[in-house]
Amino acid sequence: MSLGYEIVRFTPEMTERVAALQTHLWSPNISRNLAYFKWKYEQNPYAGPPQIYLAMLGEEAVGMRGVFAARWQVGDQEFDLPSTCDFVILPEHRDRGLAKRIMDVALADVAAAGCPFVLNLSGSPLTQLISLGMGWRSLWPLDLLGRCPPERQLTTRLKSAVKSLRPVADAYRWMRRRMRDAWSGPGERPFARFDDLAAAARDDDIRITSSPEPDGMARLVAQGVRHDRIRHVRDRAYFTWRFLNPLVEYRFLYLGRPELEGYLVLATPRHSTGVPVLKVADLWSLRPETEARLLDAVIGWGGFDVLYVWGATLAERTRALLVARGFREAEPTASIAAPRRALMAKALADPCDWRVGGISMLDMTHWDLRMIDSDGV
Amino acid sequence: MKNYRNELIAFIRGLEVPDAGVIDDDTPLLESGVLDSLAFFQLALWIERQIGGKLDPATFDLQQEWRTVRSIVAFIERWQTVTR
Repeated sequence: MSLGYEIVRFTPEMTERVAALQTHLWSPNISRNLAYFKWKYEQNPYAGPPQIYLAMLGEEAVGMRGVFAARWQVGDQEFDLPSTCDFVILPEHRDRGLAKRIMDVALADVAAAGCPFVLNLSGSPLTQLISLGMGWRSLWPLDLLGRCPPERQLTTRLKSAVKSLRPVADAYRWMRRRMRDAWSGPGERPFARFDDLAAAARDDDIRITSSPEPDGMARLVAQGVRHDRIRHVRDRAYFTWRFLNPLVEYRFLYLGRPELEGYLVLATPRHSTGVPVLKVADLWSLRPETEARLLDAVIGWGGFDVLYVWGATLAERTRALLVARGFREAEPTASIAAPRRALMAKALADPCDWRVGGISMLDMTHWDLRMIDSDGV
Repeated sequence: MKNYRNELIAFIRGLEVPDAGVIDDDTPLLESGVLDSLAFFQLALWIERQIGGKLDPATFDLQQEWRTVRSIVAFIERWQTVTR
């Protein structure tokens, strides 16, 4: 069923074609897509040449998949554990076997580079299903927890119901992207309401910025890190690069002077419309009371539609703290159209013991996983 | 008892995938490329309807259980037996 399609590896001359293809996923704006490409694939400190695989029909790029470079560690042992991402096939070229062909080439390259596994932390329901059909494994659910003000709960439930209807969901996503593009401009501020409420609250102990403090964050993480966990490398270079994602806007809450005692990172799509959905992309502290203080600040100030966090590898005390503050399971049931978000992995060697750094990937308690570890945040 | 095999093959042919005519009981549907992503997703929704309830795809070995017509029919009949 080749029908003249060819799967090729990315070369720099294809950058514009990638940006054009990704108007179906990243954003409808090619300039923004070029900036995002540069951040994700060229400025990524853990990446070599961009690992992107395109389906070509003559000179036209009709599909692609990317591999997001990432470096993880257990103890002092570091290793590359990339994630697949950015899966797009133009509508008129679907149902022609391209998804599998692209993935086969991508995974062969990753395996040849010596990576025993590849992850996916940001797959759509369709991608999750197809991946499972192709031998990927859903290691464990990410346990998405959400909290919204009581007056927004009905609206949120209605939105979820609409999104679960695929054709409607596709139309909704298309319309939302177009609205984002129409609404974006100098006056758009996704954190506008949050910023105003935080300023009005006047908490002298919590600093809020729109940029990271890489040195302080790296020092703090080094003090409290669990060396027996599989975790992403979180050093100065990581913190310097990670939050430059041009499609996402961040707010950083810091507690502690002169040395940082804790931080919390909020993330939301930069060009979203309406009252935003905020994500707790990262949260780190040495003491439970610091953690509570940061969470209480965000919850108390408000300015969001829903606040999400991954609950899967949180410390028990943190999870209890979130539940006490009204966070609930955002995905209490799963279905084909709406599977739970999960850490998915594909073993590239056979046989496979599902171990990295000497510990099992299959046990959720062996991981320290945060939303910021996903390429989608 | 419902003939899931015939209904499944009819459903796949109704998807109008190019190679639906060569499908037999043991054709690997996804691996062979007979079904692409969207067709497989529609098939998954069909299977879920036959089960009569929500199906969490992470709770079973989907690659093996939904690999062929034969394995899908066995899957559905097993679920019917368990839930009856």
